Amino acid sequence: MLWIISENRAECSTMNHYKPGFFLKEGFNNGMLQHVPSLARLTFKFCKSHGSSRFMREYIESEIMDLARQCPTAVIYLKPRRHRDPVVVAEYINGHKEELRCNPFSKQELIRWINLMTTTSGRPSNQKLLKYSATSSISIQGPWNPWVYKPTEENLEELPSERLSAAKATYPTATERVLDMVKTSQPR
Amino acid sequence: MLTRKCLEASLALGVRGYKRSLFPTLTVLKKRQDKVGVHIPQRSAVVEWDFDREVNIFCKRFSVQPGPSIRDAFRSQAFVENENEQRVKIGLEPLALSSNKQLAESGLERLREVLTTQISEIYPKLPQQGVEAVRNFLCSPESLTDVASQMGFAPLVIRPGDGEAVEPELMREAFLAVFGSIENQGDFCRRYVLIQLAGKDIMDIWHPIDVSQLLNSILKKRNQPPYEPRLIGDAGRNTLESVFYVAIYSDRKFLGKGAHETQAAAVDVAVRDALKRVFGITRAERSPFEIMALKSIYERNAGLTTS
Repeated sequence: MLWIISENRAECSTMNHYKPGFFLKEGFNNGMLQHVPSLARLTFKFCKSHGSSRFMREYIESEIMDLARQCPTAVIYLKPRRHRDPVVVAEYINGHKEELRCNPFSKQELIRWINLMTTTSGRPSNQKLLKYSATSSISIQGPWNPWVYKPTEENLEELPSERLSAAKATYPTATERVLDMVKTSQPR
Repeated sequence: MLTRKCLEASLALGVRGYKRSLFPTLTVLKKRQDKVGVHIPQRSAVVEWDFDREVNIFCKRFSVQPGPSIRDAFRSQAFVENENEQRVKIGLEPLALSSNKQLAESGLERLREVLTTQISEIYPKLPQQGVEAVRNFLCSPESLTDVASQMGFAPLVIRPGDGEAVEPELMREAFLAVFGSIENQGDFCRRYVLIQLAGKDIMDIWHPIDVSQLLNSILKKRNQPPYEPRLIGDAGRNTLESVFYVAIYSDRKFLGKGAHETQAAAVDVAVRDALKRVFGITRAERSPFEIMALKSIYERNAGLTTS
């Protein structure tokens, strides 16, 4: 199966800091007008007689119809071949392909892994996510200048004005607070 | 690498150690393999591939109502030519296979029509030139190839040769041919082509040559006097960080404002701001795509009641 070999195999490293980083990107603003599921096709490769494919066979016997009903937008292939380990191959519409060898998986584990494959967006696993959010535009508010959000009533003020040149108090002064306490306190 | 392979092979064979001849043999094999190159077949050449099922699911995935010629839309002209050449070489008669070339041509024309109406629907104040510029941007080869690759056209295109990489031209033609052969073209165009505009500034796509003349011609049509710029603020004059804040007025009515390092540049920014306000393409106005998305959500939840 030579066609499985990916071109950027050298990038597949176990060490996280050697992985190429990327920002989140959703194709054609997916989900804005309509959501398109990312999974394109799912291939189950298994052996009809070997013991390693036992749980895969059980899964195919009992669960595969439910899976087909669950994701009607993905093509599901079954590929029996002799005396090889069971493998699930998921292909996504962005061209990413994920292979999973499922020899040690029980049926329940298989259900969970396949649920992950059907619901994920098809992000290459050999890349690390740099941020959980990303924006495509450089700036939303535009470049800042000294008059951004300046109150327009200041245009009509005659300079020099006492109101504008007075110190701005962000919280009440001690004198004001004491006066306030005197006012609010009840006479004995 | 090869030593490791030798070890693996010896483990598989169940012998202690490995034969000394194995390393040189594998080295020679590797050299020969490198010389020949790795043969990667097309996705459709593999056993687990059902074209009819793929096309059906493709239509379902993108909510497409297929026309009668949907299957021909994926067959490239290069494939038909190659196939017939091979048949002639063997001595057989060429097949009457129909390619997607004509479908793609008619699809492009139709796409341009649909886009023109849809752009003028979402930006009703945008002039003809602007609509054409935006439409040409969306119909440009790069944009269409991008959409086609995002939609996963690559394995579906029927083409000659090997490998998983598809030429962008073939992908684009297949996309246009599919557009030409479906029935709900309006929805399809809105969902996958027009949506490329979301979050983009129209003035980044459309570059009007003489903005001041454009603004004056618009004012003339409205029987208003030509615009006049006024300095409404400046800071740091004759320094490296000078800023001039200029507003544009016509007949004592405010049109737009902008700031820049020099007065002339600030006037240009202000005129562009005024044009954005006139054409209804500012950020402050709600994005037409948000309105469309909200509308579709309301339609979907029409039967639901909120407590």
